[in-house]
Amino acid sequence: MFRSILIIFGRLLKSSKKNNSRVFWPFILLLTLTVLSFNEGQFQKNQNSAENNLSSILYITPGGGDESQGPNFFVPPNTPTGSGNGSLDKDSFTNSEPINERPKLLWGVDPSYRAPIGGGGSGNDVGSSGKDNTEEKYKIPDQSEWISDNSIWDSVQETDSSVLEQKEDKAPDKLKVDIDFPYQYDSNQNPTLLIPNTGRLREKRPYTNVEYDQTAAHMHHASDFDIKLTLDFNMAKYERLDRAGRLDYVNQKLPQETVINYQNAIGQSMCPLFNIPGKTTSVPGFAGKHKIGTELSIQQSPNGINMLSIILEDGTHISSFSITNDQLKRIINNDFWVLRDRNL
Amino acid sequence: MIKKHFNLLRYKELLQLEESGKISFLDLELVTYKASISEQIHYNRKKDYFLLIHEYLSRVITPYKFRSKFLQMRREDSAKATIILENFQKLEVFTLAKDLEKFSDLISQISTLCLEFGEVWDGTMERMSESEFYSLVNNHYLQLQEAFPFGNFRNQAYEYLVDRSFKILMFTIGLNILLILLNIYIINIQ
Repeated sequence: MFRSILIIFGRLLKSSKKNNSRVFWPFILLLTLTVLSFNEGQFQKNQNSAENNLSSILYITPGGGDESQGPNFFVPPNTPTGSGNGSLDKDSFTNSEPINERPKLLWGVDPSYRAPIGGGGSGNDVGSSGKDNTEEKYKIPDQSEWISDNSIWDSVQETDSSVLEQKEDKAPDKLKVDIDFPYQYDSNQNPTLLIPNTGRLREKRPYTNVEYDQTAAHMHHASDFDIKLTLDFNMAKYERLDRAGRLDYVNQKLPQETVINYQNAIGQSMCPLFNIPGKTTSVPGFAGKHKIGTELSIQQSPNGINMLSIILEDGTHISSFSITNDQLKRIINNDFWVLRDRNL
Repeated sequence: MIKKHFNLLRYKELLQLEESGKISFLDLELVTYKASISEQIHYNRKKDYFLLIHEYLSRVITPYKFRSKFLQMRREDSAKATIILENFQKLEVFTLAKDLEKFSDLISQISTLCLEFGEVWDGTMERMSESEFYSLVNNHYLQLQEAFPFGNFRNQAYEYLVDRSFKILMFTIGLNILLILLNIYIINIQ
């Protein structure tokens, strides 16, 4: 359009110069005025669009959760199940040590499994009365009695793998994403991650519970943990919603894997990791207008970013987000008092 | 403006103490040294912060845009500070404003409000209302204005509006005159 206007002006100028010289200079003036105004408008428009593009990059990033990750972590069978309302029975964890490693073998799902040779039977096989019988049963035979028929071993292997396949199919506790912590399902069949507590209350409560719903209600801090949200996730709309509305919105717009990845990232920000040299510590603090006792977990990454996590004394994780050094200074100066303007 | 130099010698000592495990990374003196760099960077662009807060309070920008822009500016400053903290040559000549503390404290309070605005918890802590947020930001802004009297942004905003309106008007009038002349020219040719 701008080009066509210029062409028309050019033709007009050419003809006006030939026919009437009095019209020539006012034409030049008008042309300059119009071109200047037009360019100004274009510049403003470009600036605004650049700003919009930037904000879209900052708050809505493309791509969803990584669904290509296979199942790879299982809740140990000894881990207690949910009490029905999403909360966890803390005392029941004292007797079971959740495994913080990925099982390498398929039979890792069954800790009661014992090799029949050498070490005796499992707890189920060995009763108090049948101990001698079992020892006799699994006694290593003399070398003269050894059988060199390989087909026996083939049949044993077949039996074992079929049993394991059955176990894998029946395993109800598989998650679709790779996580680093033990977990437990809440009443909505969403996982609550159990993060080992490194703070002063670790004797009293060994785990911090990072609940699915509480995490889903804090997607506005997801960018701090490099969690990618879907393109149609409107953060401005999400922020205006109350807690229940936020949960509905997350269920509509985000796959469960995204929230679980976010839970996992929060968990990592609360415990020292060997592969990422960061400084992690847990300190007693306060939260809310009424100064409720809390535990604050602070992690400083090698690139100078501080992650603050707020945990209630009963082990419920409230929120995690990044803070700058001057905010950290202010928190230390205020005796680790956070959410000061909130009615917690 | 009175300035003071960054005490690099003491900062190095504190870093060594931290490395040897004698002090924690949460040691107040060490954190204060680290924070002073980002505070100075905030201070250097205080006009931008004032303008952004003023735009929000004048309802020129939405609350969401204000919060996200404010936090983004803070993150940018913090990233710059991290780079400077690793460069001892720059730290050696780095100067700090004397009234830095007051400014950074108020700005930090607004930043904390932005961060904590969306915090909710299981029914007992609902999201902060927009009016409450507005009122708290306004309180801090008044304190900022009192401590750091700055240009009247109300006039600046109006000036900007008038300037833009004038340019649009000029463009429209210019285009109309040209169209009239074009029409006259076509009539003359015919």
